[in-house]
Amino acid sequence: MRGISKALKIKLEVLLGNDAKLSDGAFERELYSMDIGVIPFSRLLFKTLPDLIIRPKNIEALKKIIKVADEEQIALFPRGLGSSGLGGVIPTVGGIVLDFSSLNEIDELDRENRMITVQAGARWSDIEKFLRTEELAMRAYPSSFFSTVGGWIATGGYGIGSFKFGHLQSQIEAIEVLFPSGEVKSIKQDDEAFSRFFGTEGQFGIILTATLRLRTKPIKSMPHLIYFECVEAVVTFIKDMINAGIEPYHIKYVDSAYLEKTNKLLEEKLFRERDAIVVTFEDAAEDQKFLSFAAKQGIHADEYLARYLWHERLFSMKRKGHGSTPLACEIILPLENFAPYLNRISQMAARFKVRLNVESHIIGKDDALVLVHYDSDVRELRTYLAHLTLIPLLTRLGTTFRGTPYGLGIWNAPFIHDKFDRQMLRCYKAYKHEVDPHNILNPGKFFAARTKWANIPGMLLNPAVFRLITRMVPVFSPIIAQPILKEKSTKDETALEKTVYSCVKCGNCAANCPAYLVTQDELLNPKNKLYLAKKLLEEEEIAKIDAEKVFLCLHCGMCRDVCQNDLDLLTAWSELEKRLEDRFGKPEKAIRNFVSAMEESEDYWRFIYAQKV
Amino acid sequence: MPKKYSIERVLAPSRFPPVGKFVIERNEKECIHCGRCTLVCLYGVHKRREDDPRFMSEPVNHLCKGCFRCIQECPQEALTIKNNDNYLLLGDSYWSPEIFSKIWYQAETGSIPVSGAGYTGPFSGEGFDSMWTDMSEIVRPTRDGIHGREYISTSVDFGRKVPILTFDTKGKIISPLPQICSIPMPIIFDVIPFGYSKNIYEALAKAASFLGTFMLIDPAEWFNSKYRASLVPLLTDLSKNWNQKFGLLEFEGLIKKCKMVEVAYDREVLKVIEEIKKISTETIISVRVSFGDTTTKIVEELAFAGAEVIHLCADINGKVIDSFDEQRFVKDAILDTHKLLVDHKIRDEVTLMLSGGIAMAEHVAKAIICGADVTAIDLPLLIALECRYCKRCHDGLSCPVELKALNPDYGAQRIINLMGAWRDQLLEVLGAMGLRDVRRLRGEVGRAILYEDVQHETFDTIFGEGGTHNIKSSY
Repeated sequence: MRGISKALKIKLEVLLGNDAKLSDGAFERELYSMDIGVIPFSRLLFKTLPDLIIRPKNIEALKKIIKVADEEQIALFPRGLGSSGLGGVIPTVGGIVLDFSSLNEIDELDRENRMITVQAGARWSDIEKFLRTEELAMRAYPSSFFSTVGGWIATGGYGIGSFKFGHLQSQIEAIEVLFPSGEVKSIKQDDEAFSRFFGTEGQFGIILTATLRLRTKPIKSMPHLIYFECVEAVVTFIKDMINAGIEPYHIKYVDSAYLEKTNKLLEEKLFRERDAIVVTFEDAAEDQKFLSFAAKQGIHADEYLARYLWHERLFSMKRKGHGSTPLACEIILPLENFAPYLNRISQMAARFKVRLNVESHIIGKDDALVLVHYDSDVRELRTYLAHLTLIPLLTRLGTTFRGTPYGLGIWNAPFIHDKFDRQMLRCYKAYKHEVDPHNILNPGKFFAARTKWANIPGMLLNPAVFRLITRMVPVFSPIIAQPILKEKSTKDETALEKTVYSCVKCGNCAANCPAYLVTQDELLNPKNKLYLAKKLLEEEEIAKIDAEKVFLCLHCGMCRDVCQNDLDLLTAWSELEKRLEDRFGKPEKAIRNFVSAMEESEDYWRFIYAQKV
Repeated sequence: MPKKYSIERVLAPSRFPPVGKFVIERNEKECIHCGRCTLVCLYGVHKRREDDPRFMSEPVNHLCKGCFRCIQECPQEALTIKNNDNYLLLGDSYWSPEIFSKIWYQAETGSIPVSGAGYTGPFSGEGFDSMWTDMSEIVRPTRDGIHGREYISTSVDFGRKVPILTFDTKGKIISPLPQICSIPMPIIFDVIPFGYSKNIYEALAKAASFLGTFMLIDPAEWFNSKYRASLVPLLTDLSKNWNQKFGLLEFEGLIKKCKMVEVAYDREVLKVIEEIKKISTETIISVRVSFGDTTTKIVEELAFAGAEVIHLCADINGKVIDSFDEQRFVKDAILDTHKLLVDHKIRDEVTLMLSGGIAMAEHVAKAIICGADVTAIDLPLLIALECRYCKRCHDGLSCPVELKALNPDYGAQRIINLMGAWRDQLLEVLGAMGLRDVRRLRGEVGRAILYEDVQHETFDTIFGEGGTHNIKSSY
């Protein structure tokens, strides 16, 4: 892979004109070198800093880019919201990040056949908003509600509604894919190649559009919360329910630690701190069937508690933060191994002195998508690194229970053999070679992580070596790990400090920020402002030009409304501005121009009024 | 084209937030600083903050006309509007809250106030409201506005006028011509009813001097020779001192300095006039007469005795002072007086000045139609300086708008602005009536439509003459 010369940048600029926005500011590139995961050593292993960021405004621009990239052998890293933590969107060898934020149009709504065609950069929340006035609704959607359609296709594909509607693949009619050759192909569900684009993290082509199947809008959701004595009882209940032919829209499991944290967050002991499931129906008849079925089983909680948890489905990261860095492991497990796995990991976690939280979406009659998460704190680096090693351990353990890792990206690349069998992998590799002979799409990950330094550190990520390491980890890591002393770190924190270290970078705020929407400036994205704040707090160097962007904010507070962690963002912005003002002064003129630019923007007003329901 | 008389106006924002009709409340928790309100408000109620335009400043309530646009357009429904209780408590039954808000607006901007969408009434009422004016030629001034090509004079004269002129064989005037002085608008400043302070007097004098009009002043209170061309000293209790030797000597300087003096009426007033004329023949003398049951007699007497100016005063609410009929209003009193002098064929020889209850620009025009040559205003001057007529100062309490601390230059500008706006409205009326001179409006009762006359015309055929008194008070 080659780097990008100045001449090439200019060439791209001329070639793309107004069809794309190019940026190569140092800070902006830094922002694109991360996803929501916090991996302290990633920069040592990979060239995570892209050379250039391109935000194409139309598909024509994208075609031009891919043509140049293929000719010049420049690596491309398409990026949606970046709400996964496995490094799927992180550059490994510099190159170009393709930001899909502007390719978010809704192309066509086919009411008759109940289908909608959207560009890959459209967010699930955008589609929901678009359908608000229609009689139609989405089938399944990811719990990262503000993530993009392209992102979910390329990664997991399981989420809310997966119990009823199955994997994303089954609710997509067709996708349009752009190949490194410059060819655009529409691939229908019955095509052989169709499934290759799901969960393969952008290895074969760039997804341009997707045609989603919709359904009639349900009248209402009817969630029920049921408590159980133990995980085994949960599994039995679910299996019995399935056998009784009851079809809920969604089933979600939460463990006692999850409910304990929820209680703490609400500052009231509302939930019993037990294993529980939320079963949601959207069909009244099914609901009735369920009620008579469940009458003899388990303990039912009040409806409002069930509703609360159901509402929280889109805020899965909520109680992970609060002054700490969340770590998580996602794995798909056969339902029969669900209980033994949970029992094993809790024993393991105790050795690491962490408390695990488990959530799980039951994604079909046989499988569960298990999300295990726990709190650490990156500011206590030694412990954090030790905690970090627990993730592959949890994943490894999962595979011994016939589980498969939910995604691969960079950090799960060693588990590729656990995700795909030999034959399939061979097929994928052949296909990759066929469609992307120069390996310009997302190189250095997924199939095999390939690091800097002649890939010598990358040896560690080789599946066989990695397996060996994961055997050693349980011995060493617990020795290094210390329990996180929360009291110490949270006591004297200012609102900004608390916010910065509690942010899980989910990106909900970005989808709801008018300043970001109008300016399309990545530096105005609230989560990125917090990243700048983090640098400020850690006394890293900040450029004045980047600092001034922080002031371009209307303090509307809409970021706060969608923040998973209920962070006090408005206070944080004021504090951040104050600090920056002390250091760089206040960019009065820029602020004035910004305010009038906002008021003159039609997009702005459309967005503002869309909030009014 | 010769230059027109025009009053230059300069924005003079109030020192204290005026009491507005409405209160707009912004819910800070809901507001997203989107700025919609600032864009939709026509009146400047909503503004972004000067120091940081990302935030909203407090709504400027007194500018609100209650159009509800901001309320309807706010995407967050963060704004609420309600009546301002303090507004409703302003003034009294005569000096209504509306008078205050309009005077404040005019004093600040110098523009004619607009009340909003459509006239909401009342269509008649007490006092000046029981009279309409016929503006049948309303199309005329709209051609190019009141400041357009049309020349309309608002000048009025003070002094005695001779009924006939005699000429010698060479065509030269031989009849003696009495002293006359003109002011550019038919409004002078009466003595203010309260709020006596140096700064206020200074402000009023500056304004009067700028406008070229007169200001009545008790010289015992304040006098500044710098403004003598505009000052009219009000000399009281002169006849009490009259019999004493050199009784008027202490005023001699004043009389010589000023173009006009005013003396309070008493039995000996004619002697006083004679004495003043001895000191200065050029000084015009106005006689101040309180309206009452004997007014017509006094006016008759003075007019025939050669008085130059008669200043007829009602109380602050325009009510006649010494009368059995306590409800008798200044408009009716001046109409009767005017008619009397017309009947005596002496009306044109004397100048009639009217004061009391003149609260709005339209009252000036109405007073003139009813027979006054010129009007004098009192309380509106103080209101223009932000007075709330709360009467706290009557009880020796502090003034909520700190009138005494007024900057005279600023105060003068507010008075000038008010007068500018009033004169514009007078021009509108004159233009709409097809008149080019305010002197033609004086006593033009044919232009007046009086409520009582309309009532008689309408109901006498039904109830018989005099039968309408039963419905008199039901406007």
